[in-house]
Amino acid sequence: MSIISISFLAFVIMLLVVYYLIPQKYRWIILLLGSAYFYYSNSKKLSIFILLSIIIIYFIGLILSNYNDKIKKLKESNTNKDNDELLLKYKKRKKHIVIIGIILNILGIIVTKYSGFVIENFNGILNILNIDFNLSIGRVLLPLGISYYTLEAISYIVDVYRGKYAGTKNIFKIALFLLYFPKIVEGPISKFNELSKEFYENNKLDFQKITIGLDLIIYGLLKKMVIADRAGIYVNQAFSNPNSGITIFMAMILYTIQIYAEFSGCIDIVRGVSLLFGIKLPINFKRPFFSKNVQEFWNRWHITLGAWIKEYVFFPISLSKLNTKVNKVCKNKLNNYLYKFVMAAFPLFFVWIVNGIWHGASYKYIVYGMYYYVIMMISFLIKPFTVWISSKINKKILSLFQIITTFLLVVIGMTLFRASSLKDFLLIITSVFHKGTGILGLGLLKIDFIILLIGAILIFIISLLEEKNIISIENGFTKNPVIRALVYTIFICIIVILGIYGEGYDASKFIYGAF
Amino acid sequence: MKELKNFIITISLTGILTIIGLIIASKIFIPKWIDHNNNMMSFIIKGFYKEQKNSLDVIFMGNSDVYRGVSPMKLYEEMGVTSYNFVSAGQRMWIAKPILEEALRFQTPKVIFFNVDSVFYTHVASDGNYHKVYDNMPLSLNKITGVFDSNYVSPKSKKLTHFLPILMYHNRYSELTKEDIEYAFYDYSNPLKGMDLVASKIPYTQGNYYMSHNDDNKVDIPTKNKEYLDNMLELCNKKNIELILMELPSAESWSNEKSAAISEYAKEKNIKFIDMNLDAVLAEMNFNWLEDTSDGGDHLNIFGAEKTTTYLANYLKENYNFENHKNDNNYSNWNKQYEEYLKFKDKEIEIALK
Repeated sequence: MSIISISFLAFVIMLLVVYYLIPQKYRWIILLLGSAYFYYSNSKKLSIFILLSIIIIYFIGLILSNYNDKIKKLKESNTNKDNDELLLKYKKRKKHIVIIGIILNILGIIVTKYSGFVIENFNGILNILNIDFNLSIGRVLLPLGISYYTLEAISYIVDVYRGKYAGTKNIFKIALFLLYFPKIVEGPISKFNELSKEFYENNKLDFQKITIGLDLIIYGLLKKMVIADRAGIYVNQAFSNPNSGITIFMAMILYTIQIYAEFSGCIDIVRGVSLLFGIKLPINFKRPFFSKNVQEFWNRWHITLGAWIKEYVFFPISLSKLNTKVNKVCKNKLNNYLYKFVMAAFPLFFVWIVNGIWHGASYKYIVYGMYYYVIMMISFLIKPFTVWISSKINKKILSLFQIITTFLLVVIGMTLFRASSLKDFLLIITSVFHKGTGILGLGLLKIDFIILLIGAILIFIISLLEEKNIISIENGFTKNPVIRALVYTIFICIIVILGIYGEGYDASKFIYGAF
Repeated sequence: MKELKNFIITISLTGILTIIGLIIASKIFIPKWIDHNNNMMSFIIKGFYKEQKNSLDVIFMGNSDVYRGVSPMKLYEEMGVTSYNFVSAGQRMWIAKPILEEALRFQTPKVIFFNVDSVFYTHVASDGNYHKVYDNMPLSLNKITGVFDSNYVSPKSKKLTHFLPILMYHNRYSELTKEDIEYAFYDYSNPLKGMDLVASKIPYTQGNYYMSHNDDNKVDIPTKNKEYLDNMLELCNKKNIELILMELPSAESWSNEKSAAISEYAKEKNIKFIDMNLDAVLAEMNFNWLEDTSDGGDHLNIFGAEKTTTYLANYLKENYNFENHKNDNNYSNWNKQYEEYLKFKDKEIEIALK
């Protein structure tokens, strides 16, 4: 069941009716049943993976909570040597348990998503060592949303470990947290405590939330069906054949537009559908193409992934013993400028490795992560120079230059993301400098380019108005129901008339849905 | 409370405006089947609904053989009887039935002629043949049951497009012409009364050879088609309308075996069957396969159609008492449209002679 389908629409409407018919206290049960049905109908036997994750984090959460209670009691009681030893022992056990929990969850994703990559590398090592043995790579299907729910599962056990909240005694609440159907396909990556508040407290019938939900759904559909899927026609044709010059450059630009319109459009739909049930999901995009540098871009793009990595990779590494050692060594041996650089570079290296690997099981994705890491490190190194030159240039021109530069760097990054391999990526980049054959004849007509241009301008204007705080889609773009109805009508008519759908087209395929 | 009020205003206003917008868009985007390439299907179907209620004496039904092989205006010329070809191309019985039901929603003719060619077809028809009918048919229970008939094999999502054609034709945004706008809101009154009038001649050269060679074995009416035919007959009987089965000259598809099967059915049901492929009938009509077909024997041209229509007119004159509407003020429009028909016919003949 794709989230852009008549059957999904019918499913949501039916669920909504039942949801609001029953008392507020029990509504979460309807969400759980609906989510379980949605998951099972999409993943069938592969549902076992998410079921295992639910069971594992449930028990790990309970055990960790138990230790937290014991530690708290010990701390409250009189301190003596025995108590200190017990405290240390409990802390150690807690650590072991959380590590086991993380490993067990990662194991699921390794078996399904990374097994091919791991075995391929294992065989490569055996070949280097001249050992005549090869493991075979079977085809493993990916359970729906495994890359997303694995991060959520880890965040739950780590949060309980850190004592942010107690592990829940109700396994069905864990199940709803991981399975919740709007976010399972493409996120946003959510946190247990935040979502629980929404599921169990903020779930009353609220027409303002429903209205904002509809705003998001309609805007998301426009982005996905009119812009992303139209750009996708050109992109697929241009990248699947040897092209060069303007032809391939246009494909790179359009792919960046496609992936933004598609991913952010899907998140809008997801958050909108969730709001129909009164459940607010976290923001995942904040007008990323207004960014003046790559770091800012990643603070505005796939925000929940960045936030997760920051909290569960960057902070632990920054506070680790290893980092403290590096800190000590560098502080004594390096000058302040280089010391600051190394102290940023060390934990960020792991951040971008994780970011790259999360996106896919191949060296291409590791390089994808490293690409942004290197850019950030270079910009860190040349910061004194850029600060000096910034003071010499007109601010508006500088901002425009920074935005364009960031956009072009992101376009290159997206091309790496899209390329089938590193070799393919290099071929694409070099072919940009060869003579092209023009942009027509690759599935799009002149009128399609005009539609794309108008669509991009429309998104730009809406984003600009949001950036300048003139409108806010998050809080409802207008209070006037007549204006809202007119905007809805125009958008729906545009989607129906200019949307890419119908025979031979499958709206269910989302680029980020395969993660 | 205010939020609920705003919500209701938004939803209801959006609903109304969107439906209006999409209906207008559907009218513009739907292909305009208004020439010989598309057998003027928009004129045939939409034109029927433009006829004054209960104004038709006779209705001709069936497949493409009828819109090429019967001239309602010739019948008017012969005896002042009003008629219409309410037909469709590549017709199957599961589309014939809703067409009959729709016909009887607006008209109470004395006689309905049904060309039986499609009685023997059980295989799936091309999608276009359904779209040309249902996309032009107004919303009704008959249309809904017709579209969702289990014998009409098509995905449900695709069937839904018959009710909002923009969902099917939205991709035409790049090929829209002035004609699409002009004919979106056009008055489809049809002076040809459902005929696709062509004057070109491509002869069929084997005489009546086809009757003994198109089918080698005995042919039975397929069970499911027989059920549809029974239902159609029942519907006509209920309304005291005489259903007459006929088969226009068709070298492409007709045979002695099919003729025998229909004769047997007609005998069983005690209804009339006129087979215009029989030697005696062809001779009586002075039918000439070298002159009267437009495509080598599959369909007739206007010369053939006038002969078959005259033959049917004679049959009606002999067996019924129809009022001649030529001097009836209530039918003055028919006289005007007859003049238009003659002009159209002359033009087509002129084109064919070139």
